[in-house]
Order: sequence, then C-alpha cells, then structure tokens
Amino acid sequence: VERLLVGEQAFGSRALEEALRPSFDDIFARYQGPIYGYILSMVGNAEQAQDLTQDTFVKAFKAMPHARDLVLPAWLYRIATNTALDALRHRRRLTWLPFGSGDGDAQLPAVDPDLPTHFAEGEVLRAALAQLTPSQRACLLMRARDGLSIDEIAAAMHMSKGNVKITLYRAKERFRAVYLGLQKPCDP
Amino acid sequence: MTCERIRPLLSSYHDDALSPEERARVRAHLSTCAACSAVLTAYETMYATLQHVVAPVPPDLRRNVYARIAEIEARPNARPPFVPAILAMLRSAGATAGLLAVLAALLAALVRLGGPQHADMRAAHGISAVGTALQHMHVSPIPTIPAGDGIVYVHLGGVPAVAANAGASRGELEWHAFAPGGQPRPLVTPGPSSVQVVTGLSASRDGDAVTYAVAGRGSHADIFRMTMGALQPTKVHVPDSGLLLYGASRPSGQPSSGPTPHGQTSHLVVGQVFPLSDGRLSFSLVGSTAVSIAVTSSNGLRTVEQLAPSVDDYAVSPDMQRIAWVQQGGRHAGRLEVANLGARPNTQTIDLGMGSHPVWAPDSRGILFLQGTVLALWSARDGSTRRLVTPNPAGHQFISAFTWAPGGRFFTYVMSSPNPHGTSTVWLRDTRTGYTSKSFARRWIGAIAWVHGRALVAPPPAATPPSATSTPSPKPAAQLNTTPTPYDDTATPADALYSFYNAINRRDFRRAYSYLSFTDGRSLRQFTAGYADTRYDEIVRLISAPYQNAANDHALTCVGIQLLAHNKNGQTVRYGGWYLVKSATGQNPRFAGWRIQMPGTHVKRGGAARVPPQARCVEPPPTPTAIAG
Repeated sequence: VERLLVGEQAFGSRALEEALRPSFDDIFARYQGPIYGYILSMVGNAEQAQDLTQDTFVKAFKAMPHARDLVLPAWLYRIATNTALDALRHRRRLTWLPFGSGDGDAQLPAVDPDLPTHFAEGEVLRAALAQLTPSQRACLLMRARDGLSIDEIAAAMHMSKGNVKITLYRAKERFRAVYLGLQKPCDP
Repeated sequence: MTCERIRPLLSSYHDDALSPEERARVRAHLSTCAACSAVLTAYETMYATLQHVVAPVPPDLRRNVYARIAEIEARPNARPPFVPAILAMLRSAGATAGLLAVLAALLAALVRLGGPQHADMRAAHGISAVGTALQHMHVSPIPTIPAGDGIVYVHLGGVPAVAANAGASRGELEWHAFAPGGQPRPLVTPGPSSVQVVTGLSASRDGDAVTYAVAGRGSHADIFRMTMGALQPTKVHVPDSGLLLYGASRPSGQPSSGPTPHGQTSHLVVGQVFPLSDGRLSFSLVGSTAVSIAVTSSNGLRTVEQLAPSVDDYAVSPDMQRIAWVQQGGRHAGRLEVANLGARPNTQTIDLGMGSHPVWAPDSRGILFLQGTVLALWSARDGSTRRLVTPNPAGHQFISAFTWAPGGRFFTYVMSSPNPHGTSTVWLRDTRTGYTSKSFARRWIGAIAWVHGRALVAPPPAATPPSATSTPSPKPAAQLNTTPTPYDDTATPADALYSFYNAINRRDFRRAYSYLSFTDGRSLRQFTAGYADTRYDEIVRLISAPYQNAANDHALTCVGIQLLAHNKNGQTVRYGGWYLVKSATGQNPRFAGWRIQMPGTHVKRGGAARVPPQARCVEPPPTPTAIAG
C-alpha cells in the first residue's frame, strides 16, 4: 500500500495516480482479518460480525472514489467503527435490556446482552469487554489488538487525541477492574 | 506526585503517547511505586491478552463482499467472454467445416444460455447515460472524446444464419460512432467465400486505419489494412514470405510454422493482429501444432517467437519491449504472463495470475485484461493490478471485448448478453476521471477497434431527420445554429462555469445539472424546464475571485458572471451576478474539480444587470438554503 505516489506519465498523471492508488483488492486482502476480528470483538457475535464486516468493505468500496486522501488504516477503521457502533446502537434500541444492573452498579452502560461468543477459553475476556462502553471498547481494541496509534484512533473515532487518551485510560481501568474481579474466582 | 494523579499519565505512558517530560515523570514515579508498576504490568498483560484473541476470517467473507460489490457495480458477467472464446476456437479449428461448426455451436450455446434480459443496463451500472437525454449526432457521450470517434467491429449478426444455411453469411465489419443517434455503417464483407471469418482486428496507433485478418478458403484469406478515409481494404500480406494463409499453405523460406513432422501441409490461421510502433504488424499464426508470433518486415515475415501450442492469447506491446501471453496448457494454464522481448528475450516473466485477453495501452505502460470476468488494468510501472469493471455475477451480461482509444486516455468495452437477442452494449470510460458512459447497443458485436471516424460521420441523412426534441435551435439561426464544441473541464472555477454553459448550449442538461453541487431542490426535469425558452446563453464576462477557504475541507470561491440569454422568442435578457463555486473533489466520483454551489440564486436578471460588488458574494448567501449546502 506504500506505492501511492509514484510516477506521472502513464496514461496522464491523474489516470496513473488513480491507477496506483491502493486498489480495493489490496485493501481487502490486507485488512479483512484485522477488521473482522475488530468488529467481532466489538459486537461479540460472529454472525453479526461477518455481516458488519461485509457492510464495512462494501461501504469502503463505495467511498473509495470519494476519498481524496485515503489514509489507511484510520480511514477503514473509521468505517468499521461507525458500522459497528451503528449496529450496537440499533441493537440496543431493539433489545431494551439493561445489562449488568444485577450488582447494583447503575452506572454501567447498557451493553449488549449477547457479547462475544468467540472467546472459547476467554469467557472472562468477553465479559470484561462487555463492561466497556462501545467507544471505550473501540478505542481499546484498536490500540491493543490492532496496534493503531493514538492519532489513527483519533482520526477513526472523530475524537481529539486527548479524548482518545482519556477514553483509553477509562477503558483500561474498567477492563482491569472487571477482569481482575472476574478472574479471581477462577484462580486457585 | 501521587498515584492518583499519575494514573491517567500511566495509561498514556503505556500507549507511548507522552511528551518526554511527562514520560520522565512517570518513569521516576514508577521506580518508587510498586502499585503503579503493577498497574502497568496489568496493562501490558491486558494488551497481550487482547492481541492473542484469534478470530479466523469466515471463509465466505471474500465471496460475499465481492458478490455485493458486483451487485452494486452490476457490471454483469460471469461467463467467459465469447470473443476470445470464439477466436480461440477458430484458432484451434483445423478445417473450414470444423470452424463453422464450432462457431455455430458456440453461438447456439450462447443463445441457449441466456434468459430474457431484465435489468436495465443503465440502472445496473448505476450510471446515467449522460449525454443521451437529448441526442446530438456528433457529440460523444464523453465530451472530451473527439466527435466522430467510434469503433469498427466485427458484426456477428449474420453469423448464426451460417448454421442454417451455409454460404449465406459471415462476420462483417461495421462502423458505429460513439455519438448517440448514429447508425451502424457496414464497411466490409470479407471475401467472396462463404466461409470467411474475421479473426483478428485492431486499429492503427493513430486510429485512422484498421487491420484485420480473414480466415477462410480462397485467396481472400489474408491480412488487410483499411484506412478510414478511403475504406478500400488493401492486402498487407507480403507474397515472398512464403506464407499462404488458410487452405493449402506451406510456409517456406522462414521457418515460421513449418510443415508438420510428417511433411504434411500445415494449416495456418492468423489469430490476432497488432500494429507496432514502427508501423509494422505483429500477428499470431496458429497452426495445427504450434502458434507462431510473427512480425512483418520489409522483406517478408519474420517469426519472432515460436511458441508451443501451450501459448495462446497474446499481445505484443506497441513499443515491442514486452509480450503478454496466456498460458494455454500445463501447470500454468490460464496464467497471464508478461515477458521481456528485445535483446535478451524472456529474461523476466511477470505473473499476473489468471487472466486473459491482454490489450496493451498505446503507450505500452499498461495492460487491460480480463481477470476472471473482471476487467482489470495492470500498470507496467509498478506492477499493480487494479480492477476497473466488475461484472454482475448473476451473469446477465459479460465483458465480451475492450480496446483503448488511440491516445490511451479512454477505453471502451462491450457488455454482451448471452441471450437470444445477443445484445451488446458499448461503454466508454475515461481513465483520468473514472467517468463512464454508455454509448450504443447493437446485436452481436465481436472484436472491436477504436478509430477516428470523422470521414465516416455523414451529415444526418435527410431520410431520417433528428426528432424535434433533438434540434434545440429553430429557424432564427443568427448564431449558434450548430452545436458548440463540447467543453468539459472543472479544473478551475471559471472552467466549471464555462463547462456548465457549454452543456446548456449543447442542450445536455443532464451534464449541466451534474456541475451543480447544490440544486435548490430542483430535479433534473425542473432544471431542464427552466431552460425551455432559452435558445442559448452567451457568457459576456467571467470574473474569478481568489480562492478562499470557507471551511477546512471545501474551498469556496466566487465567480462573477455577465451573460446574455438568447431566448427562443428572439428576446435577449441580460443577467449578472456571482456564482458561489466550490471545490468538490471527491464528492462525485465521476466528477472531480469545481462545482457550482449556488446556481442562479445570485444571478440577477434585468436590463441593467451588472456584476455586483464582490463583498456580496463573500458573505454567506442570505438564503436559508445556502446553509444546507
């Protein structure tokens, strides 16, 4: 994907430039795994994750001609994040189910009732992720799982860098608290 | 510093997002605080855990994504292109009867395959046929394509009749302009023999002539060249080459194809024909045992490459430096390869994956080819491949032929239906803008070549005058009784306005409408209706203001304009005002550049119309609708 700005002459410079942009195939081949994994961790349901990954790439395909400066991976993660967040929002509207009110923690956001199914041995992880707000989850996953920089996450989330840092901090703290709390019973 | 205050920094420290000073502070704190160190360790474990989550990609993800994209693009297809297939069959056919049988069978198969053609191609493409709303005989659907350009193609329309009545028909060469409303014009019916078929067709590099090969029995089987000016086919074949095409041919002299090992006569068919940059030709000679690639030379034919029967579809680059071919057999069957010719032939081979029907760009810097059923462009410069036209996997249509315009900026491709009507639709694409437009439809278009057909653009025949709707300018033909030369440029704000009014004057309201980024809620129909009384608009003056950034993303500027609207009733009305013009790059995929943000609203009408002070434009326009933009 680094071959964006070569050459001037082939069929007229703009044509070449167009021809040399990363093709959709390049982008799909490179990012199908990361994006699917990211969305799966976001929504926690493999079937829905596959649908949303498809949506993401179809949207990306449609948006490609419009995208003047197509900065990867932030551009793609932005689409994926919006797609996932939309789905989560929609799902929440549909399910109406407050989550996690059992332990009296009223501040817990309404998270999705059917979060990850793919953590075969990682129930704890899945439950911990479920305790994060969608945007905390998005930031944390992009940073921890996919290794995006703070700047890239800011671009993908439409947030300021400072906001990303704070969101990450809260995500980590909550995740740590939940993770530790959940892990304890399992520990000998 | 307390742990409480260090914790938010600790998170950013862990994410490597701190300034050097902050980093030093955190590090200092960590060296003394076990609790915070533990937190940091926890963060690291957390990230490691999240990284190790394995989520295998569902196997059908790719298929589903590409299927949906294909639906969107709906550039139909999914069946092997019939032209290369026909050529391949022709080339492998050993005898006339066999050849015809193959052709007939092939066509029959195509006919059988198809159902009724449902989807409106235009809608399926998601592309409106810009320029066809009102027809002009001499204007190409893409205005920057010279008027009079078109394609010469093998018209297979009569071929199915061959099956029923051998000796009745053959593939004919026809010409058709890209401009809507044109009529096909038959050029050549090859040879007197009933069994002659055009097997190879290509345009000269300047687009003023075509070269084609005719296979068949008799002396007319040969390679011909025909200029668009004269329309008189002349033989290219050089007699002393010892080559006699099809029939009782025994190549002598040059060991081009040679007798078969048993000394029998070898049957040769010319497959593809290409012009080379120095005016010579390259073509393939298909024999029963081998395919030869040959070039003409001053003293006859020279075989440049003797290929095993395993190599078929091929193309020599116009600069003669490279060759692209499709492996026909063996381990790499179906693989499209590019190899170097020249001093040290075949030193390097580039594998393009499964592909077929390579067509070199006129400047030898790229290859259009079919990747499966998708039309793709390979760039010789960096070796990247880009998919350009993705057909619909539903298979109602497929790409049956494609070729470059002489300059290499445009290309055209043919979508064909495997249905009993055999409809082929010709599309144009501007590689610079990505703009795609439908040109015309015809039954059974075979191989194609892009030519300048100025000499062929006859004045509209008197017998078929254009319909009333297509003649915008009636009697009072003081000025502009001819359609202006298309102007289509949005590189600068002024150009956008010139293009806009140029389109208006061409009565191409769809195109004009497309220059508007904000339409006041007017539909195209309403917009067009607004010009019902206008004969043409004359720009008296354009005043470009400096660009100014109104927002981060969109550059806005004002262009002052004075124009005279010449109405159909003979009146002339003066207009003056400012257009707010906006850089719309990226807003409309087929249309980068400047677009008109506030059409008309600032243009005042009246006898004393003059361009108002620029300050009026710089301020946000007062209408509430402006904000929506």
